[in-house]
Amino acid sequence: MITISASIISPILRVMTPILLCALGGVYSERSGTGNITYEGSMLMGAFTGVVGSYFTGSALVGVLCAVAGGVLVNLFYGLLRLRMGGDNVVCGFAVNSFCVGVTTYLLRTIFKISGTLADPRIQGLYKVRLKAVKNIPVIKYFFTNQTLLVYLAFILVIVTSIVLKKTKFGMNIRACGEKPMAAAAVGVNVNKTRWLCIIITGVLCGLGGAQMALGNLTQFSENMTGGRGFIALAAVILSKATPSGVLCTALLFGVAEAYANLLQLTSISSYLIMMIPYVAVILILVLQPARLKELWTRWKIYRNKTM
Amino acid sequence: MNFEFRQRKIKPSIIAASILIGLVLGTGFVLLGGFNVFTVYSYLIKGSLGSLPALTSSVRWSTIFLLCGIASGIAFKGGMFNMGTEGQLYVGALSATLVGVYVKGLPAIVHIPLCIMTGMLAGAIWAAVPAVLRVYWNTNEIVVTLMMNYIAINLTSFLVKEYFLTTGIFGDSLTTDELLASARFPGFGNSPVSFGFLLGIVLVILFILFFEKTKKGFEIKVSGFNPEFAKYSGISVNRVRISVMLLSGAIAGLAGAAEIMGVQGRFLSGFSPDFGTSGMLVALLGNSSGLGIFISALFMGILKAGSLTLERSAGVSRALAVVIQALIICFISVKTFNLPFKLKKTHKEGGEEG
Repeated sequence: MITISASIISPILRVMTPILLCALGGVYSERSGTGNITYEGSMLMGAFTGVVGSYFTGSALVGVLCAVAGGVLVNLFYGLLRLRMGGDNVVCGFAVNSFCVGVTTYLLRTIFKISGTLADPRIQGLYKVRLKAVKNIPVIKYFFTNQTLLVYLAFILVIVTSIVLKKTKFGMNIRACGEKPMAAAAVGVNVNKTRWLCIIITGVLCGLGGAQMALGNLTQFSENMTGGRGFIALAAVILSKATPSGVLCTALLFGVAEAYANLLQLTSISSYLIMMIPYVAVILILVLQPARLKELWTRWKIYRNKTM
Repeated sequence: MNFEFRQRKIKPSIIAASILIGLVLGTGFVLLGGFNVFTVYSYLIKGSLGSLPALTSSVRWSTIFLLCGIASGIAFKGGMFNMGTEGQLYVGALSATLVGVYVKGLPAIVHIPLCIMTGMLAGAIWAAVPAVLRVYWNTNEIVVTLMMNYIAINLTSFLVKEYFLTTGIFGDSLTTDELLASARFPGFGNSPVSFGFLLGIVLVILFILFFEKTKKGFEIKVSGFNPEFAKYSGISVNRVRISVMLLSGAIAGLAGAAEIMGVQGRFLSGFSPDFGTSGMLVALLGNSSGLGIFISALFMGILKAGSLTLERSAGVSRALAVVIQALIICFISVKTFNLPFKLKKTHKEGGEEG
């Protein structure tokens, strides 16, 4: 049976990183008021272009760069639709997501003549850290074995993002564009330019998330492999009201849920039930937000006073 | 958070332009793949309209797109973005199948409606969760409905695998027993066209009548276009939102039931190649109006049937149809085609005149 041990730390870090990277990218988009929901598509595209880049050049670094390019391209397309043509964010975001599903499947079959999963020794995975120095320190060692550099980058980016948002002029502009675009424009902030930059940053981070998924956790690409993780990232952004630290906490929660789900797959419990766990966790976390519960409690009190 | 979805009118010119852009960009992808554009399009047309089997295949796909499109369209009308039609379709399909397989000894005239009603009920229950959460908890319905999709797909697979697995030999595929004959839709000879298409047409007519002629329909429309206005004129927007989601879920459940009873004949786990998303595309393309949904469902059905033939004959991935559909929808909600080169030109002209 499952025992709680510190070794769960490694899988938690592995599975939470794509979500964390994506959600951090989402923080920029969300704070600047673009209402971007294309994380799923960008991540999928990033995973695909990353694998393609790595396959043809044999270099993981090129793969990561390609993944970033893929994510940015998707977001540029979204930006074109949303910022230049004034499309509805939900409709455009939804359409861009299904476009990414379609186009990755189409290109997978066209370029590699296979459908389903592309797993090939030519795909070079990301470099995995194996620190010899901490090999014998109990808990710490799990943080530094078999992790990709992107894991650490994600954690560094949490700090960077909160500094950028709180302490820099650019971050101030972002928040102003999200909260009161008119006021921001009145004091001379270029709202459109700021939003474009934010959308591009989202693309970069979602692309990195896709790279971590397709080149770090696995070294393969399968059709629709993100399986809703972009939407989990979206849930994390919504839940944490787009704050970097909140995003980190929610991503950690999902990471724990998914890592334990993966562990449970070794037991006799049906794998279909286990695969539901991360998704149920998202809904439960959305429902059990402290702020919501408080609001509900107040409402209930008002209702009781009225009827009595 | 600005993830509120507002229904709004789309100009016909924008729809026409979107379809054109979608097809042009889709052609770009065909060229990118190194295929002959002429062959691709001739196969697309031959596979969907070229012969009687091709036509029936188009109608077969249009049926499910039409039903899913109506389901999404109702939600859009009420200002809810029901992304969970896929999940509601799965639960509806499974529960209808169970009634169709295990309730024995009923005449077809009772059995078929019973199956459909069960499917609708299951779909509505599945849709009730996000609706209630949205209205009373103010959680984002997009995320919840999406998560419910993944839960539904896994849950139905689990139920089939553990409890309702067929007794016959079906390899590794998880499927239930075949429906009793009394629960199958009456077919038209050997063609894959089913009674479901008639059902879809009836629903479209009801849809139009409901939104054009009844008070409830008007209330839904008003709360979709402008919830503030609806609130001030005394409409309970929350109640409208819940009822819209329930209706939408019920129709999605019906779509699932119709797919099983008309075409598949048994519940196969993971049977739907994302019908829910296609339904949403249909509703968006048809501007959530009855006639629009009908026409765009036919269009999507033709595209789907054509793309299947295309894959069989020319080896072009059927995902090409998804690419074209999605590209069309990308441009459907835009206000202007504010393209960079056009912008420069108008500026220049303005400058010269001024």
